[in-house]
Amino acid sequence: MRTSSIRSLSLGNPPLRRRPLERLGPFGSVCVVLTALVAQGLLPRYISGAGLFDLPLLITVYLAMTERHVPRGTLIGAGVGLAQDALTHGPLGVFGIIKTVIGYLAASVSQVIEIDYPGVRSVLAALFYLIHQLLYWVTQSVLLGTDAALDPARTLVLSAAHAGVALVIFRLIDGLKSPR
Amino acid sequence: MEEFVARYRNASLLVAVLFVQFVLLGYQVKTGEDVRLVRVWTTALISPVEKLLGNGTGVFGSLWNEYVWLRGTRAENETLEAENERLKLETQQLRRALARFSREEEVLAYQQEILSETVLAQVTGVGSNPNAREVTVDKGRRDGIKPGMAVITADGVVGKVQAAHGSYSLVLLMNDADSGVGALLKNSRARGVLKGTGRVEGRLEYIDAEVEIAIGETVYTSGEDRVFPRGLPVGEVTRVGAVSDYQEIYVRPYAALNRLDEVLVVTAGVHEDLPRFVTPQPPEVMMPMPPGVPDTVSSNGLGDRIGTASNDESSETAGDQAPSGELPSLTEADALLERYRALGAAQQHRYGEGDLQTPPPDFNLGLPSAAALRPPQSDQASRGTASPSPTVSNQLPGNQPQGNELPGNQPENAIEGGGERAVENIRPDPEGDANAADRNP
Repeated sequence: MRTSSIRSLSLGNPPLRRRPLERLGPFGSVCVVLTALVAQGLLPRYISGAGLFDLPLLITVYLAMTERHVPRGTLIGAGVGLAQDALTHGPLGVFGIIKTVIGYLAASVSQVIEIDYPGVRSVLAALFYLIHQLLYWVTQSVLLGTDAALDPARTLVLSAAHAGVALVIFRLIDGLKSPR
Repeated sequence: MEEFVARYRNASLLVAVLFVQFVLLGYQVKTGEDVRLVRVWTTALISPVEKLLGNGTGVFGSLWNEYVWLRGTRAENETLEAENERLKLETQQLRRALARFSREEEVLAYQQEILSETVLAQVTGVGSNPNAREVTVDKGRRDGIKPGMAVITADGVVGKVQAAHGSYSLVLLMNDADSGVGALLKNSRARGVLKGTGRVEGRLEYIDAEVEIAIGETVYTSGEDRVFPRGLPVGEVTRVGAVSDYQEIYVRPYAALNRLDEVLVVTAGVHEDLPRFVTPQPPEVMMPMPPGVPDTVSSNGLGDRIGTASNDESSETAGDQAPSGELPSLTEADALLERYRALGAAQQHRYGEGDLQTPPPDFNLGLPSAAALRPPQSDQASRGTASPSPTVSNQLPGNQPQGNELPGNQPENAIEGGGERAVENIRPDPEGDANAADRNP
């Protein structure tokens, strides 16, 4: 059983008893990524408003944080982003670049912050959504020269919504994991 | 360098991955080409799963909605049934209103059309006598209605006003047993009285047995009863029988006497002209005759068959030489027409030309050619007795040929192999006799 080696945030309370670090494994990770991509395409057909959520982003954040390995997180982000690009009509690399950065940041953050708490993960998910939208706007307007608009109010509201969805999804995926 | 990369391993990897993606993005933007490999692999991986889940969701959804989640279905069903009944009722009401509006329009249009002055009235009910065929209308004396006035619709005669009160009137329908309408037949103009029988059909009486009547023939008002203006349609003949000197004719009224809504009361009748009996014209376009059958029937009727100035040449050709191998004329009338045409051509007579004093061709003369005298098969079967020689039939009393003898018209020049047959078909022509009498005073 491997114990966590990360430094935890000290709040004056004794450290919480944590479960042993659990991972999905490569097969599980791939399945989760595929499920997220499929759900991204299917859910908007049955649930109105489901298209506003970026499920591959949440999965990237989750996997990068739970991997706690920056290179793996970076590559996970790149892979998920490129897969998401392949399912859109735009050029490959837009989401790839953005989620590569997100994966890198999520894995880096997981190295310094205790990410086993659901609240921490959901807040981080909201934060990474904001970063994701900012990078998307930069990519579209600077790299591709399109007239992409960034609506701060809408983005803030959606980031909060992503935080709530992340709570649910992360909990679901946690239930799939088995201790090593 | 290696130490630098090893020290900043994570950042180096990030930069490397980003660099590759930037290059990829730049390549696509610059060249406009797509990197199909990634897309193909990804869609090949995702699409089947999406399709499977989509179909499965549909099936599951159907099962769930139709068999499991039936909460509120009963209440919804009852609500929908009630609304369905309400909509059905509303549809019927709207249809009736539309039909009434259409009928009113039709009646108003007819009111403008006829010459008589009329007042539009609505049928409000039936008479109180169950044995009588009466209806009440919503117009009375105040509207100018008087007893004895005719009541009609756009379809035809309905009846007459039996009693008129202030604001309503009683109308006796024409199918009542006490009702009678002066009527005449369209084709023969034979006059009679159409009496009601208490049933749908009325009986047209006092029509002589000799009068020819066709089923479906229209019956009009004659105007002789001085109630109904002449020329109004009454009904059509449905049955004809003979009883002693008169015929028993049953007529179905055109007006729907059991479904009256709007009627017109004739306040000032004007007799109208009866429609003329027009001979049915042959169709303007006719198909050609079947192959092998001579085209002996034209679309212009008898006049064309007799021949005109423009058709003489063709008629002469046809009269003198019947094409070999062709079938004979189909009917006796066709053969007769052919004969008349041939005779005209042989005697150089042009039908339709000349003044009134121009004598017609002598139809008692024989024809110069054998083909023109070839009879149809039906004629041979119907005539059993041999006729006298051509000389005899052409030499009827008062029918001496006058300088119109044509070569080949003598007995010794009779048709080979068909002389007797030709003889049988030469019949004395009453018109020819009269013309010969004129020429031989």
